[in-house]
Amino acid sequence: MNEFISKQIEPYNDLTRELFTRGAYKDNSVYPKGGVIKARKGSLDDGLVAEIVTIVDDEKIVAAKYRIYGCPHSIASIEWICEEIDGLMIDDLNKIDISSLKNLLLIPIEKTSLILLLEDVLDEIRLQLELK
Amino acid sequence: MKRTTDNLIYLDSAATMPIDQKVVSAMTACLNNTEVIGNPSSLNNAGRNAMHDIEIARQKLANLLHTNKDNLTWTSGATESNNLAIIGAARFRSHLGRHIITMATEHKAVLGAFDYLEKEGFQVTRLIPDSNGLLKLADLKEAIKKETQLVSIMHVNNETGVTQDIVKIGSICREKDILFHTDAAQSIGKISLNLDQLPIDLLSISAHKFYGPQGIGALYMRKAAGCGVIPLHYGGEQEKWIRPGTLPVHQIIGFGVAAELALERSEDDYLIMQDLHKRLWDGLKNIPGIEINGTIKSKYPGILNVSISGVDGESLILLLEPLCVANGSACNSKNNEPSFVLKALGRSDLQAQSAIRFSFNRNTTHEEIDITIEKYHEAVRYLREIAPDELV
Repeated sequence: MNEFISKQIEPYNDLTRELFTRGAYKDNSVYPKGGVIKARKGSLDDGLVAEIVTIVDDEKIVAAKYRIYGCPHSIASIEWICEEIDGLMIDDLNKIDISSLKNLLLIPIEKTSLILLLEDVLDEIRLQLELK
Repeated sequence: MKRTTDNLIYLDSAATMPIDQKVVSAMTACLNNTEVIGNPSSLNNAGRNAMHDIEIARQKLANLLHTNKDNLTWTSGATESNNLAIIGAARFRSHLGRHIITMATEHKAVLGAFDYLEKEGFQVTRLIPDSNGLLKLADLKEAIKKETQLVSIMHVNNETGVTQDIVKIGSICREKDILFHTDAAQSIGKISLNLDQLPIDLLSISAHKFYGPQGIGALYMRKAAGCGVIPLHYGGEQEKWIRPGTLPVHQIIGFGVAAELALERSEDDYLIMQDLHKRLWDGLKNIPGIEINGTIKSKYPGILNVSISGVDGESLILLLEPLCVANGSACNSKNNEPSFVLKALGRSDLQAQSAIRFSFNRNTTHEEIDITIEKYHEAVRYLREIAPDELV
């Protein structure tokens, strides 16, 4: 069966489904002690609004939380990103490869823009950390 | 790749209905009976037996529609019927005029046929309904010109269930000697129509929308001067040259049984649909930001289409699993474009994108509706919980 038909029959792989409903990093507005860095990109008109809040203490990201409006792939992606950056030293943020989500979550080509938007969110976090 | 069957709750009956077991039995009996499965075009005994059964099925469908069976032509389904009716009739009357009228909220099988004719040089008017999804009759009257030869307006909308007044629309057309076609794929077998008394010239039917098999449909064409179609296919005398090709005997037999059952059950089924619609809407209507798409006053109750603010439709559908529902019509639901039907009703992209169509059948239970209500509440709660505050 070719890839196109496979994606029509099952558009979400197991990892996407797991991350989509897990909600482990959803923002519950309860933060540990530290500096709050927040970045948000997207708009309702684009069908995707993504916000990541990081709590930084002593050069380390001690918590990462998100809020999001979007499709299952975007929700799964932001859950993955927050898991990846939680506990990371801020110098290591560059090591996060958001483009790998394309294969990890089998994100269809027509949704590539969500990866770019989430990269923008993470870039904004990095920028704010550098300016601090 | 795996097929999923566990705990499915099927609320996508407007896309296709579960086939009735009596239909399955009749089809299976046909397939198992070597005496009957001849080619109905053959003059030998097996062929004549097949044609005999086909004509019995045609009579059953005619009984459901209250018309003569000679007015019915077998097709592969409503899409083919719509194409044959619209393209065939427009060409048949093209020497009289080349202006044709439809509505922006029609099924794509109708809109596609109109688009095709437009490329062929026909002038097309696509009427916009009011915010309830209903055709404004004044707009129709205003759109009619002396060159107008065909109007195609669907009976029950496949996305919203909104039901057009085909009696008034047909009467307007009849007064002006314009052919009136209606795509009745969503209404035949559910709403009783007496075609011998209604001002309808052409009508499209699909078996699998009322407990029959997929892949078989019919076109009703009134016998009258000036009402006809130019065939789209050539190479055989089947169906009086209108639709050549070997007839699928077992599917037609199944279609006939579905028609027979519909004649017996449709009034009771309608009451069941009303009950299910009320139960579901009563369970959902208090969620902040939820609204019904399409009027509730003129509507087939087997379909409930709702939009909700602050919630992405694709995420909502995934959270609703194992419920089988639709966002937009099934033919439209594999792309991420918001429904053009809901957009034509004045819904925003976001409202249209959040829309879910629930559609029922006679086997849908109260328990399934209650689970649906619970899952919808849970899904909305989760998606709003993770959404940025001001979007909720």
